[in-house]
Amino acid sequence: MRLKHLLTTTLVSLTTLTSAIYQDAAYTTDWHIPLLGAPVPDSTFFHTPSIDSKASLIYTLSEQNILGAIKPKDGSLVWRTSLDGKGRGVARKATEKVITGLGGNVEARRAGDGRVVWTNSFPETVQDVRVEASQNVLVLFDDGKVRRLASGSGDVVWEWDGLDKSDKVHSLIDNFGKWTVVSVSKDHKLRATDISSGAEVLFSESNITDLEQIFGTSEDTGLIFWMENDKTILKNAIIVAKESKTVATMDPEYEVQSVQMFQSSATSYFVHYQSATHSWLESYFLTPLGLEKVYNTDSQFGQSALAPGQPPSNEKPIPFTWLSPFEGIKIMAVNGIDPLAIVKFNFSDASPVTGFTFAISEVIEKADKTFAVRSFVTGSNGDTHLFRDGKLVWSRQESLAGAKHSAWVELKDHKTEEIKEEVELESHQNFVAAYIHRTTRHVQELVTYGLPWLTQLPKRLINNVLNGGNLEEVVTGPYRDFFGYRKYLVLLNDAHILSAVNVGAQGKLAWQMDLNRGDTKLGEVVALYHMGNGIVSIVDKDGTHLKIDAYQGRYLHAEKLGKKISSTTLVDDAGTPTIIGFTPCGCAVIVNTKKALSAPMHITIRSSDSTLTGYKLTTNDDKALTWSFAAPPGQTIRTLTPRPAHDPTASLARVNADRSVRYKYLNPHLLHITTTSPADNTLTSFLLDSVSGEILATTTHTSVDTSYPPRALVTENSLFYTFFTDDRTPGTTTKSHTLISTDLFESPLKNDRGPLANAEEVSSLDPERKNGKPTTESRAYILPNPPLALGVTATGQGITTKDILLYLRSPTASLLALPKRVVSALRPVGREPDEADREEGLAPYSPVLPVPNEGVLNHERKLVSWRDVKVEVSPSGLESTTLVAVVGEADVFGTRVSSSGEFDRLGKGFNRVQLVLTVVGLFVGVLAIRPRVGKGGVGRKWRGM
Amino acid sequence: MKITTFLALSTLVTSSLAATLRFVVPPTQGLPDPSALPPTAHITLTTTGHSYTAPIRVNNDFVVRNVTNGQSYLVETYATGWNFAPLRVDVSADGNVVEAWVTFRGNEWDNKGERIPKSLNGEIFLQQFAPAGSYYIKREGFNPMKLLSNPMILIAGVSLVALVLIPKIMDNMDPELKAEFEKEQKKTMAAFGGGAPDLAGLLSGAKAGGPSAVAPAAAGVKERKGKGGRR
Repeated sequence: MRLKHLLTTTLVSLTTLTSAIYQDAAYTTDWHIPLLGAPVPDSTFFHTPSIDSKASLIYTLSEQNILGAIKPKDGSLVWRTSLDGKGRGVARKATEKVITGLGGNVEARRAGDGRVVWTNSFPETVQDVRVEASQNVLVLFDDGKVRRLASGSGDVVWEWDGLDKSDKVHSLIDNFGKWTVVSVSKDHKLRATDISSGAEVLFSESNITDLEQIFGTSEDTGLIFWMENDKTILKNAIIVAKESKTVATMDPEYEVQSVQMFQSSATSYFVHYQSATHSWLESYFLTPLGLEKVYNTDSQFGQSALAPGQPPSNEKPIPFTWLSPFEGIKIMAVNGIDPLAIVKFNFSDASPVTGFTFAISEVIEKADKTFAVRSFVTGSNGDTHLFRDGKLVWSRQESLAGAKHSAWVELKDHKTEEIKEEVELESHQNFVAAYIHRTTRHVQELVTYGLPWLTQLPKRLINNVLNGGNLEEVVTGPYRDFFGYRKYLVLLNDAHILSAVNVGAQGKLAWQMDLNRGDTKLGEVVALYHMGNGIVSIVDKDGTHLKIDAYQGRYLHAEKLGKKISSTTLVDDAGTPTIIGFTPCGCAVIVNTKKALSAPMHITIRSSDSTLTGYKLTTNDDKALTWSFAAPPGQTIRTLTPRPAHDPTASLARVNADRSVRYKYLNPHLLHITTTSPADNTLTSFLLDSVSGEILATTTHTSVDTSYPPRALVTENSLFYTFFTDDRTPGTTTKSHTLISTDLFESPLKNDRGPLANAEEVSSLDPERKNGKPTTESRAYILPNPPLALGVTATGQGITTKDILLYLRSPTASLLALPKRVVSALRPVGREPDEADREEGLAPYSPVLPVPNEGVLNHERKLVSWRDVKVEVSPSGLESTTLVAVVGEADVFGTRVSSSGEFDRLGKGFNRVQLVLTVVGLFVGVLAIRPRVGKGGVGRKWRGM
Repeated sequence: MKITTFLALSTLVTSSLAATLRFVVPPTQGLPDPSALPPTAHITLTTTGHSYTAPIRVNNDFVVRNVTNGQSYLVETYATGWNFAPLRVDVSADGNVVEAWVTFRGNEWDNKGERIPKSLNGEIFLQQFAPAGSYYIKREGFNPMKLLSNPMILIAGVSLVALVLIPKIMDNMDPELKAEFEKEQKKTMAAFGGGAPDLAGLLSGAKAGGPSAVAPAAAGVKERKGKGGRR
C-alpha cells in the first residue's frame, strides 16, 4: 500500500532526528501529578463498579470537568477522562455505569474501566440527569425539554417539551414517582411541572432571582428548599400539597454562606448551615401540617460537612456523618424526633484539613453495633482526603488543578548564602582590611571544610564508580542543587490557592497558601510574576497587589492601588523588575514600586479586539502614544507574541556548511500577531517592531478554519504559528493542522549584514541606524494532531540547539519535542539535499511531519488536559538542559530536556566501571608485555646485534 | 396529555438536518482484538466550522451523532500505540449517502485514495496499520564485540599476532630457505643505512621517506638508544 510505504519511510528517516527518552531515564527525570480537580458535590459518589463486586470506588466529576474513579484504599486513580463540552457537568450512578451530562453531550461509561457504552449529543445544554429504576436516563435540558434515553443505546425514546419557554430550568425531581421539572418563572416564582400530566404548580409567595438560591430537593417526596432575602429566610415547598411556607428565619448576623439539605428518611430532613466561621445543623420533620423544626445543634467552630451514609436496606433511618475539622466525625441518625449522635470518632491526630466544604460517606453498621465509616472529604482548598474511622488515610492534591497563572522561582545557592554576610562586610572595608579578612575567611573555610572533604573523598570515589556517579545530593529547603534542577514552580488557580511545587523533587509540594484566608481579599487575578530574590507578585483586577515570599509561602506585603487593573506587563527598568499595570481607561500605573521609571519605556497594549496601541512611558506615569495598529477590516487579533523574557543568543549568525554565515535578524522588540477573518477564511501573520510600530513582515494564508485558535511562538530569529487549513469549497486545498516555520535573516546573501553593514548600534526609531526589514525563509509543515500549546527550550546561554515543544491533543495529550532542524525553515525544497545540507543536518523538505513516539516527552504518562494548557520552560544550571513543565487544568507534568544530549554532564550513558576496567586492563597489559619487549628489542640492541 | 411518544418521528426529524455516522475497527492481522485499543481512543471529524469528537465504545466502534449534512469531513483516529489512516468522509446534502475514502495528509483534498468498504448496516471500517513505535530508546551498553571490531583494536591485534607468529614461522622454515631469507633481509637493511628499519625513526624522519632523509634520522635514533643504555 502506497500510504503505508510513505509513512514508514518518513518515520524511519525522521526518528533519528528527534530527541528521545532513554528507557532508564523515564520515570526518574520526569514527574507527573495526575489530577481531577475539586469535586462537584452532587456528582460525587461511592459506587460499585459491577454487581458482583463488593468493594466500591469513589466516582467524581470535578469542576475541571474531569470524570474519574478513585480507589478508596490508597487514593490512586483507576481511570480518568476529560469530558467534552462546556459549562458545568453532572454525573449520576447507574448499574455498572456512570452517566454524565456536559454541554450537549450525554455519555454512559462502564464504571469499571471508563470505556464509553453509548453517547448522544443534542444542540441544547444538559441541565440535569436522572437515572430511572429501569436504568433509562432522563435528561433535562436548559430549554425545559426532557428526553428519555434508552439504557442500552442512548437513543431518544421520547421527548417532552411542555415547559413555559421563559422559565429558567433548575432540576428534575421525583415527586412520589412522578418526574417533575423545577423551574423559575420570569417573575421569579418557583414552578413545578409534572411531565407525565403537564400539571403545574406555581408557588406565588416565592421570590427566586438566582437559581443558586435553590439548595436542595428531596429524593422522592417532591420537596424543594430555597433561601430568600440574602440567605436569611429558609423556605420550603411541598409539591403534593401545592403549598410553600417559610420554615426558618435567620438572624442576619449569622452571615450564612452556604446551605445544604439532606434527606434522612421519607419524613425527616437535615439542613446544614455554614457561615464564615461556624456551622450548625437543623433537623426537620414532615408532618401533615407541613415541615416542622424538631432540633438544632450547637454551632461548631470551623467549616464542617455533612454526609449521608448508604441508603438503608431496611427501615432504619440513614446514618449521617458530620465532619468537623476541630470536633472529629460524628455519626448520627434521625431517630423519630431527635437526631442522636450515635458514635463519635475523634481525629486521631491534628487534622491537616483546615475546613471541609463537602463530604460523602460510607457507613457500615457491624453486627456488634459498632460502625465502620469511610468519608471522602473536600477541604476548603479543594484537596480531597479520605478518613477511615477518623484517621486520615490519604490525600490528593486537587488544589493544583486548574492553575491559570504560573511562575518559576529560582532558589538560593546555599554556598553563597553562607558567605553573603562576610562578603558584604568585606565590600565596606578598606582594601587591606578586606584582603586580610578574605584570607582568614579562606583559611577558616579550609579548616572547616577541608578535612571532611578529604575524609569523604574515598567514599565519593567508590560511590561514583558503583552508583553511576549519582551526584544529585539531597537538598532541602529553598536551596538550589548542584545542577540547578531544583526550582519552585508557583501555581495559582481560580480558587486563589497558591502552591509551589518543587520541580527538582518530582513535583513535591513545597508550600501552599489559601489566599482567601488573607486579610486582603483577592478578586480575579490578572498576573503572577516572579520578581527575583524569591518574591512573587500577584495583581488582581481590583488593583490589589500582593507580595509573597516564594521560598516559604508567607505574605510580605499587601496594598490596594485604588485603581482597577485590566492588564499588566513585567519590564526590566535598569535591572529592577517593574510591573506596569493598565487601568480599563488605558492609564498606566507602576504597581510594585512608588519610584518612577528611570528611563522611558515602550509598551504595547491591546486596545480592542482588532487594535494595538504603542505607548512611550516617560519617567512619571505619563504616557505618549507612539503608534497604533489596526487589523484590516473584519479581522480580529488572535495571538500576540513577543520574544520570551529569557531568550539568549549565542551566535549572531547561522553558520552554513561552506563556513559562510547568514546573519540572524535579532530584534529584541519583535512582536508577532496573527489575525483571522472568518468572512473570507484567512489568517494573517504580522511581524511588528513593538517600539516603532513598523510592520516588518506580513503573510496571509487563505483557506483557514478560523474557528480553531491559532498558536504562535517567537524565539531568537524564528517564529512558528499553527492553524487549521481548510476550504469552504473542498477540493482545492488540503485539510490539515499546519505549522508555519519562519526564520528571519538580515540579508538574503551570505556574509552580508544588509542595511546594517558595519553599524555599531541599531535603533528602532532613528532612520539613520535603522535595522531594516528582515529577509524571511518559510516552510509549512503538517501536523497529524491539533496543537494546543507551543513552547521552545531555553538554556542559560542559548548555545544548545533548540527543541520546539508542541503540546498536542492526540489520544491522550502529548508533549512532543521536535529538534528545530526538523521543522527548519531551510530544509531544501525541490532538490536532493547536497553535501552542505547533509552537513547541516537538513533533511529534504517533506510537508508531513510524523509524530514519532520517541519524541513524546510524557512517554507513557497519560495527560488529559486540553482546555487550558501552558508549556513552561526554564533553564537549569547546566547549559545542556532545560526544565520543562506542562501546567494544564488536570495535570502538572515536569521533565528535563537535553536537546543536544547531556554534553556537560556525565550521565547514565557514561560507564565508569568500563573506564576503570580499561585503565586496569591497559596497566596489566603493559606489565605483561614489558619483559618481552625489554628482552627482545632493547636487550638485543644493547648487545649490538 | 402533553407527552409525545415518537421515536420514529424524532429520528426522522434529526436525520433531515444531521446524520449519524458509525465507524468500526475491524480485527486485522496486526490488531486481532480491537478491544486492545485504549479507552482514550477517539476519532475526530473536522471541516470548516464543524468539529466532532467521539470516543471508542465498549464494542470497539465510534458513533458520531448530529453530523451536519452536505460536508466533506477529515476523519482522524487517535489511539495511543496505533496508527490509523486519515479518511475522507462525504455526507450528502440529505444525509442519506455517506461515502468514505482513504486520504493522504498534505495532499489536495480531491486526491482520494481507495474507497472504504462499509458493513451491511452502514458502518465505515477504519483503516489501521502498523502499531506505533516505542516511546523509549535503549541506551547502548557495554558491548565487547563492538569494542573488538574497532579498527584501532583490529590493527593492534593483527600486528600483535604478526609479532608473535612471524618469528615462529621463521623458526619452522626450511634451513635453506631461511638462509636465503636472511641474506635478503641483510640486503634490505644495508639499503636502509645499516640498521633495521625502525618505525619510530621512519615516523620522526622527513615526510618524504626517501633514503637520504631517512639515514640521518635512523642514526639519531641509534644515538638516543645508546644514551638510554648508559643511564
